[in-house]
Amino acid sequence: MTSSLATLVGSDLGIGIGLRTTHYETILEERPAVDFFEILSENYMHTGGRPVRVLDEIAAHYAIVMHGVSMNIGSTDPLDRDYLRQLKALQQRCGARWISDHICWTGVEGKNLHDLLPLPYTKGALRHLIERVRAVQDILEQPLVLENPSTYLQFAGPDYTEPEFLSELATATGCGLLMDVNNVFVCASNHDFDAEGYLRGVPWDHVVYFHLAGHTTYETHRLDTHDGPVCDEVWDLYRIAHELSGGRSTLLEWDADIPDFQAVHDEARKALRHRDPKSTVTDVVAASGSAGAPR
Amino acid sequence: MSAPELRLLQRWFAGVVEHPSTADVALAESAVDALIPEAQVARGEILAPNPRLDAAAMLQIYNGGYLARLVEALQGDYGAVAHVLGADGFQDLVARYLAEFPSRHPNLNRLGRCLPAFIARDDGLPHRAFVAELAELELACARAFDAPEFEPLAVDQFGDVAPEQWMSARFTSNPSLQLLAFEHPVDEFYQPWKEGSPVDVPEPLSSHVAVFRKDERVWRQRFTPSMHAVLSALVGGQPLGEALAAAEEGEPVAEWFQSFAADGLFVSVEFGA
Ligand SMILES: [Fe+2]
Repeated sequence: MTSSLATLVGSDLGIGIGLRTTHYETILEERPAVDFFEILSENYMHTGGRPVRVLDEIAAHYAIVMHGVSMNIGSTDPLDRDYLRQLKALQQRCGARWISDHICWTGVEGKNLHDLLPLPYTKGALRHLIERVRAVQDILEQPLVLENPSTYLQFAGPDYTEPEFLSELATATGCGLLMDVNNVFVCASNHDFDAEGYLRGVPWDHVVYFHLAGHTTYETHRLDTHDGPVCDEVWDLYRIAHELSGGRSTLLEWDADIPDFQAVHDEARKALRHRDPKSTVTDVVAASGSAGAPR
Repeated sequence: MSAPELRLLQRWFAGVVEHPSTADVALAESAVDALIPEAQVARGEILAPNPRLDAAAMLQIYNGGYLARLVEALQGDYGAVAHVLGADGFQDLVARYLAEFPSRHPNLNRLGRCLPAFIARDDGLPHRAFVAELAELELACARAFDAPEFEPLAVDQFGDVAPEQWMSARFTSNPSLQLLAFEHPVDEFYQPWKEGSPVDVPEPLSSHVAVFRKDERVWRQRFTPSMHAVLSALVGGQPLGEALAAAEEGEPVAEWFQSFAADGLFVSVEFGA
């Protein structure tokens, strides 16, 4: 394996943001000070035009991590080995520190539904997932990093809670985990469990990085929309998660109604204040933050 | 009872998610009900109960999200088609399209590859013949954007090649180049739409457009029938001399060729014996 789990877990890259097309110009022209960027892997696969050229340029100046949505790791279809080979080629091209995807399935019988669909947390599903994660790690020659998804239903008769399922999976495969704090909050709200209790059950020695994001609240449920700032409850959970983990790389996702680069970056850097309550970082940002100026 | 096998559960779930109607209709549909009976779902044996949402309502979050997500993705590639059909018309088109051409690729940028052909035989679609050609133009733009990387041929590096040798030269075009012949003035509609000043759906009139990528941007260039014929011949592998003969007497073929080359439309050249 190219990087061990310990290396991934131990590498705190700082505060990153998800690389989005609308920010390409600002990033290329102003080279803002950002600790790292997370790319959506599929945006740079099966294409040879501007996206890959822009990525080359950005990867020359910033640390990159990869985040995908189509590995379909939980599906009962055969693994898409061609997809995995291309994923690895992309990593070689951009020098990404790690490759992540979600604990979910995205399609069956050859179809891709392009959604992060929930798995039953049963012994059978766990066995299936363990086998698949091991196979993927053999192909990628590194620990795979997997994220807890937002879900809108749970299957009846589970054998495990989600943190138990994650622990079993991580222990059996040596995979890394991506702890999306917003997803924990959304699921806790949708499925009526205690989010803090969830965090206390997470196998922190496998957690490589955090995700933060905004979501939308409906009368009956919360939806993981990534269309706004992080809510106060999620910041509170992040503080707890930060303490429990001892500190990890942290990444803000913003995918809809995306504001300008500065606003996204400022939102991400609020994490510094929550990591260290004595931090004056927001004041520093405000003082030097003439819009778009490199920092 | 024991939990359903994971594969069965996934086939059932997918059947509900991709159903063109709503989740409650999908649950009762025979193909879905045959996998996991609706009654079993109603008894709470498949999904854990939720005090705010019943089983169909929870599944509807996924069913509704599926179509909305894929409509949005296709709207990105087919914005002008969506403009002509209106939001509801476009969503209905996408639902019909997905029923026949569900995504089978890890990348959403492949989802719309069959849409122009689907539109061409989608009976009852308003302005069908025009919309099919408009979709073809938008697909060409998307394909040019995603075409493999290439290095354009620098024709001026062949300064010492004699003119008669040039006449026997055969070119390979860059992988983004697509030559389109339409029965409607498609680009004359597309351009104002793109600039935010849409015009009415046009009457039939033959037109020719080349779509290609240059300097990481996608370009559309309107051609005369002669230019289209000359470039088509070159792309088809004919030697330059023969390809230029497709032009009318007196047309500035040398200039055309120079502009094709300057636009990076070729990646390699072979000189005949
Ligand atoms: Fe996430």
